[in-house]
Formats: sequence, C-alpha cells, structure tokens
Amino acid sequence: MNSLELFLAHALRLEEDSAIRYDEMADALSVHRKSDVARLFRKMAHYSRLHLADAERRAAGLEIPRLKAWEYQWPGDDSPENAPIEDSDYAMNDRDALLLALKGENGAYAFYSSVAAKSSDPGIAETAMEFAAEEQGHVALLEDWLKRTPDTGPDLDLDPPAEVG
Amino acid sequence: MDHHVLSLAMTGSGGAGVMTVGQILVDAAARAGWYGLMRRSLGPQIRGGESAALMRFGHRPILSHGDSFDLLLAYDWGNINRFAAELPLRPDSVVLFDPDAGDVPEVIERTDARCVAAPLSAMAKTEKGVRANMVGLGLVATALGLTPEDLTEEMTKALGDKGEEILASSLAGLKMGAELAADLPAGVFPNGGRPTPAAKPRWSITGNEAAGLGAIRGGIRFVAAYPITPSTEILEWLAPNLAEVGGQLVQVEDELASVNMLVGASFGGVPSLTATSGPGLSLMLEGLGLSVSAEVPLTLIDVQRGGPSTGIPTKSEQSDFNIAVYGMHGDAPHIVCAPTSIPDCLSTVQWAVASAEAAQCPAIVLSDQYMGQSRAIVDEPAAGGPVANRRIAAPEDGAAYKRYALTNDGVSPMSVPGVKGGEYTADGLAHNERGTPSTQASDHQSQLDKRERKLDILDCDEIWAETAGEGPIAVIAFGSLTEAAREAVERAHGDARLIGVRVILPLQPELMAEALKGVSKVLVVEQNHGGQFAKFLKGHYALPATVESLHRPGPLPIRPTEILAAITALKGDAR
Amino acid sequence: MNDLSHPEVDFTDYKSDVSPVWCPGCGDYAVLSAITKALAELALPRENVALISGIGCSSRIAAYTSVYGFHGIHGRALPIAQGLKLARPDTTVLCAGGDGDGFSIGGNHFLHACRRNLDLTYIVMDNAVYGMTKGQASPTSAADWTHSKLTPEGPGVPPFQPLDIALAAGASHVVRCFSGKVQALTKAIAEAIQHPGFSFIQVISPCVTYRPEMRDLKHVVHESFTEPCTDRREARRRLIDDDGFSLGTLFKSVEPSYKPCHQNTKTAAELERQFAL
Repeated sequence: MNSLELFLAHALRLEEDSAIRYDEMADALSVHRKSDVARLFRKMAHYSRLHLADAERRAAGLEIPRLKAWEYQWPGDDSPENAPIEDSDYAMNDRDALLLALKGENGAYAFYSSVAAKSSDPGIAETAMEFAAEEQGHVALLEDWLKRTPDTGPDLDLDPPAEVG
Repeated sequence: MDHHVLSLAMTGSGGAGVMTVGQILVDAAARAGWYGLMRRSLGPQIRGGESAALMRFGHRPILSHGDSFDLLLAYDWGNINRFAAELPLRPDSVVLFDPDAGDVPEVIERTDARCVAAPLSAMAKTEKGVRANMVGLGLVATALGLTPEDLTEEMTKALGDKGEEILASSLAGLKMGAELAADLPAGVFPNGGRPTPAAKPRWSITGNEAAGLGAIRGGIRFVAAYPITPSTEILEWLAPNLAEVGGQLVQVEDELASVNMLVGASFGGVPSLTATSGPGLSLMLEGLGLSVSAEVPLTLIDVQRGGPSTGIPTKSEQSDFNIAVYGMHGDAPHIVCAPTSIPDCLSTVQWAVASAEAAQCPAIVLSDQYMGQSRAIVDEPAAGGPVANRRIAAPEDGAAYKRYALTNDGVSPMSVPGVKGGEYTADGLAHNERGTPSTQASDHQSQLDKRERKLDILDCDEIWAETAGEGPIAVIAFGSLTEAAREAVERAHGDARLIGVRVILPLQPELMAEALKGVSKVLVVEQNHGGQFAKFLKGHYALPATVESLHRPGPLPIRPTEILAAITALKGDAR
Repeated sequence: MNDLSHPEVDFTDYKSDVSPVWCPGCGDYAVLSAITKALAELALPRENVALISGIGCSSRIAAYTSVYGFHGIHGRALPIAQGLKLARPDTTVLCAGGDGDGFSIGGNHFLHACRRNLDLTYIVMDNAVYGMTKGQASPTSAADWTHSKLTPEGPGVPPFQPLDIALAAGASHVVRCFSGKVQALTKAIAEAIQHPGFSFIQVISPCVTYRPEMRDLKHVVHESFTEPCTDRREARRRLIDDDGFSLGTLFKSVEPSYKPCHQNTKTAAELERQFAL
C-alpha cells in the first residue's frame, strides 16, 4: 500500500463487504429460529457500518482510486473481515456464531496490522494502526463474550433436513 | 344445390407422381375458373409408398371433403387395401385403371363402380420419354373441360427445372391422355363442362400456409421450430417468409426448447409462435403453464394427427381436444380456438396471435391434418384483421413497478427489457403483484382470479363460431369437420343449423345460448374415439336435453352423408 | 479516480429487496455477490440486463437481483435465455442455475446452447446435490455417494463432466470457479459477460446442509488453469489430468455464433402475392 488513498479504498470495501455479509447471515439465521445469533450478526454489521462511516470521513476530500472488484490486494480469497460463509450453519449455537464473528474480526485486525507494519508511509501506518486497534477492540469484546458463553454442544434438531453425515 | 361438379381421386405408389400431377390439375383448373380442394392421403413411408390425391371441383368454393368419388384414376394398386376405405365409391362411380398394373382388386370390385381400362403405360411407351402420369393427367383433365394447352402453364411451373426434353415429352403425354379420353366408351366419363371464369381474384393455398400467413399478419416475429408431421409445412413456409418481413425462425433441439424459447422471446417483447402436433404439444405443456403463470403471451398451432403416442402421423384426427383444453396442471386459463376451414386457418391464427398478446396468455390453435395439408382454391381473403398490440408498461419513477398488478380487467401492463424502472422477475412460482414468490393464500387467489378475469377482454362476438341455417337441430362441430357439417346442414333443408365453434376457450355461454335459440336437439360431430368435444359441451354449456354424439377416430373422415343420416335419425327420435 | 464513497455504480444497486431462501452457509450467497459486483464493474444499466434461471435452490437467484429476471421452470433456463437473446440481441443475458437443472433435466439444452454459441453467460452453481428436494444425488455426485435415501447405495453412475462436455459441444469460453474465491469469481463473470459467445462457468458452490463435507473444499480446490487455452484440442488435453477441482479459465476463443437471417425486405401484403392465381 503506497498511498493513503489506496489504503482507504481497501478499508471502505472491507467494511462495507463485512457489513453486508453479517446482515446476510443474520437474515439467513433469523428464519431458523436463531434470533440470538441473528442479533449478534446484526450488531457486528452495525460495528462494520460505524467503521465504514469513520473510513468515509477520513476519505472525504481525497481522491480515492476506483478499483475493480478483483483488484483489491487481500491476503486471502475474500474480503478479510468477511465471516466465512461456509462456517455458517442453520444449527449453529451462540458460541459458534461468536467464533465465526471472531474469525471475521481477526481477519480485519490481521489485515490492518499487516498494512501498518509493512507500510513505509507514516500516514498510512498510523491510520492502519488506528483501524487495527478498533478491530482489536472488537476481538477482545467477542473473546470476553465467548468466555461467558458456555458450549452447549450441537444444537438439537428434531427435524433435520435429511440424514446426513 | 350441387356441392361439386367432379370429385376425383388419383392413386399411385412411389414414383407415380400423384401429388405433383394432382397439384398441376388443381392449379390449372383454378386458373380456368374452377374452385377446388385437394387433400393428400399418404402412407407411412419416408419416400414412395402408397399415396392418393383426393380432389373435388365445383362452381363455388369447396372446403369440405364430400361423400364419395365420382372418378378414381388408379395408376397402380399398391397397398390399396390399406386405404381403400378412404376412397368411397358408388355404383355410378367410374374407376379408370391401368391394365398394366394388374387386375382390379376385390376391394374395388366390391363397390360395384364401373371399371374401365385406360392403357396409360402402354400408350406412354409408344413415344420415348413419355410417362404414364402425364397421360393420366391429360385424360382426367378433360372431365373438367381442360385441354392439354390449359395444363401447359402449370406443368411448366411444376417441371420447368427438369429440362426441355422432359417438358416436351410431358406435353406429348397430356395430348395422348386427351386422345384416350375421346376414345373412351360414351357415357362412362363424367363431363363437368367448362368453368365460369373467376370474377374476383382467387388464391391457391394450403391450411398450413394460411396458418403461417395468419401468424405473420398477426404480428409474429419469432418462431422456434422443431419438425413434426403434419405441421412442418407451417414452419417451412415461415422460415423464408418470416425473414422477409424482418422476423426470425430458429430450429431448436426439441419441443421443450421451442416452447421455452418462445417464452424468452416474448418476455423480450417479440410476439412468438410455434407449430407442432400431438406429441409436441404433450411435451410443451409445462412451458404453456409457465406462459400462463408468468403471463407471457405465445401462440401454438397444433396440427392434429392420430394419437395417442406417435399414433398415425400422416392421418387426421381431432383427438388433441382434451389436452388442448385441459392439458395443463393447475388452474390455467388460456385460449383455445380452431379454424373451421383452410382459408379460415389464416384468420383464426391471426386472431389467436392478437388475442394471446392482448390477454398475455398462451393461445392454442387446433388445426388438423385435413386442413393443414390440403390445398384449396379460395376467394382472396380480406386484408387487415387484428394485430398484436400488447399493453406495455410505462413505469413511473420512484414507484415500485408491479408487473402483476391487480387491475380491473385483469390485464397488467407488461414491461420489457430496455424499459428503465420496469425491471421485474417473471415467475412460474405463485407470486404477488410485484412478482415476488408467495405462498400466501390471498396472493394465489387474487392472481388466479385476475388470470381468469382477463380473458373477458377478448371480443369474440364476430369470430366465436361459424353459423348457418335455422333448423331445430343444431349440428355442433369444430375444425375441418365444420365444412362437412355445413354441407349436411344445407342438404337437411331447414331441419338443421350449423354451429362450427371457433373459440373453444374462453367459454362463450351467452353466444352459445343465442345460437341455440329455437333448438330442441343437438348433434355433436367430431373426429375422435372418445367424443371429447361432446363431453366438453355437455359439461360447460346449457344444451337441450337431447344431445347425440357422432364421433369416430381417424383416418376416415366423417362424411356429410353420415352427418345428414344422423340429423335425420335425430329428427325422427321422439325423445 | 473517483470518490468511492459515492461510486457511479454500486453493486448493491443490483440486489433486490427479496431475502434469499438459501441456508446459512450456502455458497450461492457468494455467487450472488459476485454477479452483482461484476455487473457494477461493467456499469451495465439494470434495464439492459436479464438474469434467467430455472428451478432449484440456486435458480432462486433471479429474484435476488434488480435487473430483469425470469425464474422459469426446471431445466429450461437456457431455452428461455436463448429465446430472449435471439429476440432482443441488445440485452445482456445471464443464465444461472444448479447442476440438476443444467446437466440433468436440462442437459440437452446445455449441449445445444454450447453449439449455438450465442452471446450469453451461463453460470452453474454446482453443489453435486439436489438441495430443494432435500438431498438427492445429482448428475455431478460421485457414483458411491451414499447419503441420499433415494439412492442409499449411491447413484451408481460416474458423474457428469461439465467442462469436457461444454468443450466437446462447442462452448467458446469455459471456466471453473469456486464460490469461496469471490474475487476470482467476480472477475470471471465480468470476463464471461464481455466474451462474445457462449460462456460457461461451473462454480463449485458448497451445500453445507446436505453435503457438509463440502465446507472443506477451500483446501481442495487449486488454481490450475492459469492461462486460458485458445486451442480446443489443447484444452481437452488439460482436462485429462483434471481432478474436478482445477480452477481458472480453461478455454477461450472467439468463434462464430448462430445467426438467424433477417432480411426485412417485404411487407406482409407483398408476401401474400405468392398465393394469388
């Protein structure tokens, strides 16, 4: 990342993608009587939107490059804060959901801190550091929450979709 | 009133050229001023095999197959037992046969018709290159007052690309035939005299060609085609002609593809049509249901043949009535109509296209092999007629477009790709007004209601049926039997009236009640084994207590005389 | 350079307000995201795009976008899409559905759509199972997949080979993607839309409900088709060693499309003269 504008382009995309992903998961789980899990994902989407608004404020007045959807330099296959789709499951319990969100937040934290560490531009490093700190806050919050959430084991489903496994 | 001046059958197996000879005769006769009709009876062979050209000529338009043949010209007797039943003869009929083709078979002798040897092959052999079929043509043409010269133009048209030598020897053959006619014993040969020259322009057209033209006139500009007997000629006629008017025809992999391609093209706003026969219609039913649910108009012409399954592909039947009316699963209001004659294929298909487009639903046109593959000389049809005029949406900015809006008349203005603000997803799933899938009872009910309601917008008063006569017995028919029924009703001298139903769905209870005023008994005539049309009429219309059903499967057409007999029997019935 | 906070075209504009019926964890969410992002990248006006689908879980996708859509009947998405494209060549046509819809009930249409090579993009979300009917073997299920009540001993026939068949039938742009690699999928869809011919994209898209083992596919797929072949024979040779999880553009070549003849030189009245005596 050789410019603040390019970094912010990534941050904007990351946060918007993440908010959309959490919302999708919340929608999908709310039809499976998982209102607690859905609420958690809504909350995570909300945090991402707050963070997006913050990135937008910082981008105001700057010439943010317009990257094509496949031009973002992510460390992995997907936007780094996106909770992995395939880890979501209709039978997931609160603890599973927290672990899933933790993956997303950790991904964002890893991305921002890596940019901060690698960037030679102090301005970029500073901003990335602040973003990383925010994500770290989310991680800590989720870890704390996780400690207070007992593992209830696999959710009992009396009407499974099919005999699978 | 004479219904015809001459009815003539020509038979001959592969190579006899019966169809070409028949076509030359009909066209030459038409040019001289005769009206005429030519049907085809073909065997199952890919090429060759038994074939018969079945013709009828007269001083007024002839659209019915009639009762029997005055004259049979047999080039040979190949497989005659298979189709002799399609060639009814009377004791006063004349059979001209080529003695070189063997003795007159028993099945013909048994008719007591007068058999006269005509040495066609022997005469042909007297001059190099002359063929028996032209000798025969020259012979029978004299019965219509046509000389070899009268036949030359049409013969040149038919054979012109075969070279000078062939033309010259063919003309020689025609002359030999005319000489042979002069040599025949007096009184055996029918003499129809000369025709009256036509006062108004006439056309020579088959039902399948007329159907294709009706499609173009109605505004069809996309056709997906999969060949199937006996509808293929519609598609083959449309391929070049549709392109000429800027439309397109695409040959596809199967009937499932053709009906669904129509759905796609029509979704894009282009009026679309296909033609098929029973097996194809069976395959297309699911797509037709999609057309109903998604409210995407399309027109399907079913040229019926013997069924079920592969049935008798080359022979006519009216046994797809039930599948056309009841075939789709679910409650699926749609249009079903049937042309009543060869020229009527034009106007009925045109009406079907315009109606499908107006009501945004599928229209099935029930033609049949008799009409589709027969050629008639008819007065030039009137120009004009209804054209596709779909109600297109003009979405308002900001307001969510409701593709399936519950309008008063049930027709919802349709948006098409390219219209901004009109984006929607068409769906075969039950849906709400916006098209979003819905399992809600109220959405299902209201959408079913609107699809039923919208068919009321169709104006059927003029077209719904072909009626004639005022007698107390109503003969109700549809499709190609309408004209046979008309002939019977005319011969019944006031005892009967004709109701040839053209619009089968939507039902027309008021028009039917009006047509049945003063009727005490009903005779339903149809070409199928189960009496499908009669059961439909009894189930859906208020008919008098006495309803007789005259029905028979193909391939033997129900003749006017049989209908007349049924009328007479019904008249004497004290019920 | 644009202000990204107010992009000219936002991919979310291509999403409808209808919530997917898909299960949590379904790979199809990623495909929906990729399609909308690809459309946004190409800045195609919504009214000029149509997404046609058949029946099945993935076919629900048509209603989840805000372009013109058609959620048709099982197996017939391609005929509807081709009818639309032929009638309205000005429309960008996408067709989408599942492996059962495209390779089983609609298999014949797949072959002939490849042959016709019309300019459209066909995206098959392949999860090797019939999800909507609750977990039966599909044409791409392994012969010994024993987890369906319908075929407790496995379907017993080798799986359908979508890429081989597309190549053999004449598709001019053949790609395999994985729903877990959204960026690559987005790029592939955008390229497919721009390719002037029939583009086929097999997207391995896990069904975590009926095939939970598919969650691990991200460790199985591998980028192998790094550069597209432009020679069909060479592309076929590449498939000899394919394990079914090689990703990338296998083949891409600009080849003739079926073109109907339009002349538009006569009126209907002029045509009618052929019948006059």
